[in-house]
Amino acid sequence: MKIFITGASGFIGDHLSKKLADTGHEVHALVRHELPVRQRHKDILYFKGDITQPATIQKAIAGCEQVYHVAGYAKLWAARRKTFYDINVTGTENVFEAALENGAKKVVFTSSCAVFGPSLKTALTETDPRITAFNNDYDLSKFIAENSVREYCKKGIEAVIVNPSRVYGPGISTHSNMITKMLSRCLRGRWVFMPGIKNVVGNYAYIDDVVQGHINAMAMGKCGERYIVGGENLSYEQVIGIIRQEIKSARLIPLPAGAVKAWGYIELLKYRLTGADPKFTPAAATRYLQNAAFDCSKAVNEIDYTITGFRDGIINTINQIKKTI
Amino acid sequence: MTNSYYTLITGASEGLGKSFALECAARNHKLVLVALPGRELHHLSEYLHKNFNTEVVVIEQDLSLDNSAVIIFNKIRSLGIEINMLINNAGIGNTKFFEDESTQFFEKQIRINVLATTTLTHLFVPMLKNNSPAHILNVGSLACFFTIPKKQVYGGTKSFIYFFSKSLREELAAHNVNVTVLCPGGINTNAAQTMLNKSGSWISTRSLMNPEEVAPLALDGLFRKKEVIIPGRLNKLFVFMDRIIPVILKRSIIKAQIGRLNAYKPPAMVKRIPVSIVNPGRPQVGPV
Repeated sequence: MKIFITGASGFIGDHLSKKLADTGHEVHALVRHELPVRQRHKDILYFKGDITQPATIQKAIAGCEQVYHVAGYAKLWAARRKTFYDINVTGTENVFEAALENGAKKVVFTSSCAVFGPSLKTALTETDPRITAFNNDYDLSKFIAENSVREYCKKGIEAVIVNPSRVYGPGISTHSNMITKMLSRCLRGRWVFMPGIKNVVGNYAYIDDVVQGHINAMAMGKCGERYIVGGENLSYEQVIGIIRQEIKSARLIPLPAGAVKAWGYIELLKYRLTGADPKFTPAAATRYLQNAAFDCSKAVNEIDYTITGFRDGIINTINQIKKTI
Repeated sequence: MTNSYYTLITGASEGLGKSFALECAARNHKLVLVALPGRELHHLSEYLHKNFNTEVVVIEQDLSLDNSAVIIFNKIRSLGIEINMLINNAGIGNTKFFEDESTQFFEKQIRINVLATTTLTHLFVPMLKNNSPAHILNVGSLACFFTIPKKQVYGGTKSFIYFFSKSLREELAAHNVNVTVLCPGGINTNAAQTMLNKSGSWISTRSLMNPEEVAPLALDGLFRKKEVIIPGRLNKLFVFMDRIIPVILKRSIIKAQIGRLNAYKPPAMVKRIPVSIVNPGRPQVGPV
């Protein structure tokens, strides 16, 4: 089958496009820059283009029956706020318009668990209300994009939304796989700082699960529905404990809440003074200091989603990183 | 608060109303939530039950329709529910010049903001007196202190709420029923409103608050039986400045403001996202 994918140079898109190509599909991938040879797959057709420029999508999507729209601006920071909306909202609409025009049958849109906001005592499901206002443009832009996607369902395109949580696993290093970056630093004997607040829970999704979740959503997902594709819910204490057990030499420093907040403001100050992009922001600090537990039951029950245990996922990741060091 | 009594919240499906529901549930109140049909109120209700083990009754009712207050009152009576706290939160804003908006819209706005609050309060006062100590929290707006073009009718309805609450407060004081009016500034009530808010001036974006910040402040003030609650330091400052700035100066500021509004074109990204997409079939609810 002919499949169009955006975001193939990103963490999830890289794995997903290659898996699709490996299973015999003809994959058309839209990339902004020519990929380095080692990152390319021999059977994937790469098209140079940009989701913010509709004309470039047309060429790549022609004749494709299925579309995975994975591309997005997945940082918590942009020099201009508009960037989030140009890429995440308008870009998504451009992809859907092109899909509609070219008669694509089904589209899977990669959203994020960020749209759900923080959790309280129970793990959040797809229908739980967001309990806080949108405090950053990433969350808001993804939320608006989801609404747009549902509008396209009414226009006759079969669209399914997947919401990955904090994704980790072997693969290229981007902003969206912090855990993998940290493991890599640990293995090279570097110091690593991470939030270490005892009772704050997060959800950690292994990349292979998330990729399979996308493929299952394409096969079984219902139009207009969204599916949380996550993993185990663990506190920072548990995450740190497991990493320390698997990498005995890890120099891992848990940061208290105050230090995490201060880090956000220091990075912002650094930006104001030097113009260098901040690696962390106060909005990011807020996110990582709140509970973000998710319940993947819907995906498990309706699209046969499976979850890899965090320890197993970490061991796989470590083994892969060791090969490259 | 005695545990057998319920708190009634209108406009509870999102924004400030949802935050009131969460905050009340966290404070162990049983709840009756009212919102428009199709607002997935049952999801909020399930969520509150899961997280706080709160009893929640859901009533889907459009407050702009005839007899809506009576329908709600009868439903509550028939369920044998006793209320000792009423939060009149539902309301709709407007953002157009008077001539550009339809009379149908203004009628709806007055029905929700003024009529629903008045009739619901009237129906429930006897029950509240019976169940005293009791509370009524009416949601006004910072707009009731200022002259604001493009919010003429909205500001008018909220001024009604402001004076209605203050007078009723005197009448009901002897019966141990407290009446408080909340006058918030801009709130990030939902996605569309948050986008609009962010496109405002520097000073107005500074004064924005999130509903989850306003709700606890409002409830704290309510239980301290405050007459008027203005959440946020900057909002308090605005009201203070308004009192001390001479009228002549204010007029010239407003004149300049109208000139700016006439010339103003909303940024592309705000214009492109109609409220109907973010909130299918429903105008924004909650103070603007």
